[in-house]
Amino acid sequence: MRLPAGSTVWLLAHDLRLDWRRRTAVAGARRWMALVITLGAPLFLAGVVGVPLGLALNRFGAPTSWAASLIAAGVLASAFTFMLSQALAEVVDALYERGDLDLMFSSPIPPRRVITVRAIGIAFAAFSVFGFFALGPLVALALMGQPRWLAILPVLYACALAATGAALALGALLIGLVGPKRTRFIGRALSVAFGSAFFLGTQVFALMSGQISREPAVVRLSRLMAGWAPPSTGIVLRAFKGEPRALLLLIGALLAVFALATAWFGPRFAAFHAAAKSAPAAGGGRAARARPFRRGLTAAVLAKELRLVLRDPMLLPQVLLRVVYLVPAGLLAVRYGRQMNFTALSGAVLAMTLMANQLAGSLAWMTISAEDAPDLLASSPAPRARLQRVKLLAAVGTVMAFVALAAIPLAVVAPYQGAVVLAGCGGAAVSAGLVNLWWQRPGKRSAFRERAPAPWFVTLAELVLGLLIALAAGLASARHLAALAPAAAALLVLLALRMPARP
Amino acid sequence: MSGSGLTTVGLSKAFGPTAALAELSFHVRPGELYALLGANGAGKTTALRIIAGLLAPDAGSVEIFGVDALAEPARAKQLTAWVPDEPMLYERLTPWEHLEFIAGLWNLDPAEAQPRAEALLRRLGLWEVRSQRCGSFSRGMMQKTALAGALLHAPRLLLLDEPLTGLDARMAREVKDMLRELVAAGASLVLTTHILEVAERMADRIGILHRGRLLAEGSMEELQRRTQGAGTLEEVFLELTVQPAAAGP
Repeated sequence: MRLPAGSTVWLLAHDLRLDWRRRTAVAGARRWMALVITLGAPLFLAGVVGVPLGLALNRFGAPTSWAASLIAAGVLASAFTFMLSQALAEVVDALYERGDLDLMFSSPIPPRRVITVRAIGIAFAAFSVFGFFALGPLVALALMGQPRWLAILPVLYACALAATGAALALGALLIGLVGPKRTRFIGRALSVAFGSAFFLGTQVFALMSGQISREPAVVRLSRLMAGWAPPSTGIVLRAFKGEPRALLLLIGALLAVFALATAWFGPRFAAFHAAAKSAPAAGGGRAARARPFRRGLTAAVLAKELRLVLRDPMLLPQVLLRVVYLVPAGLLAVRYGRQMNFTALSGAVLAMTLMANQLAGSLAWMTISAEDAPDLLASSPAPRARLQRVKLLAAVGTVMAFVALAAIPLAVVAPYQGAVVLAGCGGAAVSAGLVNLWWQRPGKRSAFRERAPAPWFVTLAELVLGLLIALAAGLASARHLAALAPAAAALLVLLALRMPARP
Repeated sequence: MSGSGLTTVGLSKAFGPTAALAELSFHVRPGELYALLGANGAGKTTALRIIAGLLAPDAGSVEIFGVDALAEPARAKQLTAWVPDEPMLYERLTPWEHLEFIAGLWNLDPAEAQPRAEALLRRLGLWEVRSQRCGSFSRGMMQKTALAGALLHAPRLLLLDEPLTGLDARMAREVKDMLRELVAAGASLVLTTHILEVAERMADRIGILHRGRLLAEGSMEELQRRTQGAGTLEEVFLELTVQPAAAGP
């Protein structure tokens, strides 16, 4: 069947085709692995989550308590923040990165239609993660005589549409408030903030209460909100259970947000897009004084790498996200150090070491593999090995600067544990950097989120390496001699991964 | 074989079954501008990339001002600058920071590199935008920034792949003047271009590549004599390259 060219459905089919090709752009064994995961994960979740849940619901009936209502509202609220995070990132991408809007806005198709279709596509992308994980258990519930819970799926998609509407409004608001030049960075940073809001909320709660709870984050935040939650909170649980009135009300309210946002911002988005595309480059405008040149290769490469990371509105929020995850663990470590609670402290040290490993891996990929001008370096007389060492230093040095912010206060209250954090995070950062150096995955910085993975065994070894070093650091901070075992194992894994230097 | 300038002998390079270069030999004297011409895919860029040390040849040798570029690449690169048709720039660095980075790569003394950077940026009309990021530049401004970077270490051999792309008429003239000054100061210069009038007016000698082979080489007059009756370089080029193409491989 041929769709009428230029129609909403035709545009939607075009967007979905592009999205499908982007998602399935993997080859060989990875394609099969992706297929197995796509089919296997819902089946696995249906068995592990759906079946026990169905048995419980059949035996005890659907929950009706106030606590259950709060948890349902908390789940939807957390889903909304995650979806808002993803939608805002996509809106910023649409404004600044993707070139196809130029083509669409130069065509006779009304801008409002273009934006509505793009927004539906963005919402679908935001929904797909939740839909993917929810589908298996919900189908299992339906097969076990509880089909009404399938109502969760349309609620989630309506939530994704509302989040996309909110992201459009937020993008427009930012352009109006701070201008197109700064919206790119602030939009990305807000996206990261929304993405990590729930995690940080639970960590703040842990810091405030002074202990790490085993309760799920949703339950803890729900309990925190219980004091001021409005009576209408119960509508979410009723909609999840498929009660028609609640379902209609909730979906209607969420769709209204989307409809209002696209109706108002759709026709104006073309102007925002034009403003974003013609925004003056950052750092421009005035002719600043020419600062003196640094001396030597190391200083020049370090300065260049740090500038490129700090000035990238796409990358910086991603890096900051990983740093943000380091902060609560660091604060907890200092608190436990002050309380001499070394068992709890070892958990915080383990978490910090793992995060240092992850952060160093990301930064090392950017500095080593995502070189924007490889031919410039290759045509210079600078030795390749030295260049790569300096790039590694830039990645590890940046991580250690952040780690030091937590390790130094910890060293004041617990000197031995402070030293362990420095050594553990240093080892984790260096090992992640070395793996990136030996197993390079050339790519563009703009493809950070979709960067090509290393061979599966390297990815696995990288993960195991990070865990082993983190375990060693955690045990060492509690003065366990057993720390030597994971440390030795980590060394063996690192040696096994070592690649001969390239010519 | 001369001990100075650029000398390539028997350079060959194949990519799979395709021969990109076949025994390319030519010499560029100090103070000479050599234009390497050829249709798309003739092997010009491959030749320049090998000379710049970015690609290893399958056979042959490259000597740059007496330095064996394959045996001592770092020493050869110290004498060489390469400006490809796509400028090698960092979009998020300013021209000043780009030159600072180049100075670090070539290990230049900041006391000497800094005034030279300022002079180059002023001459190329980039001084006023020295603190703007290169990502906001037009193609011509990017090309000029790349050229400033290439000239910062005062190279003795300059390799230019389509150097006038994107430049307006005034700046193209300025760049041509700069190149002539470099040549007058004793540098060897190899340029590739599709604008044959530029090669005709600027080059001391011209080499015509076809399917990886050097078909003809010489001054404009020598090439005209060889093609009997051809007036312009365009006519010379077409006559020399069409005949072998018609004859087939």
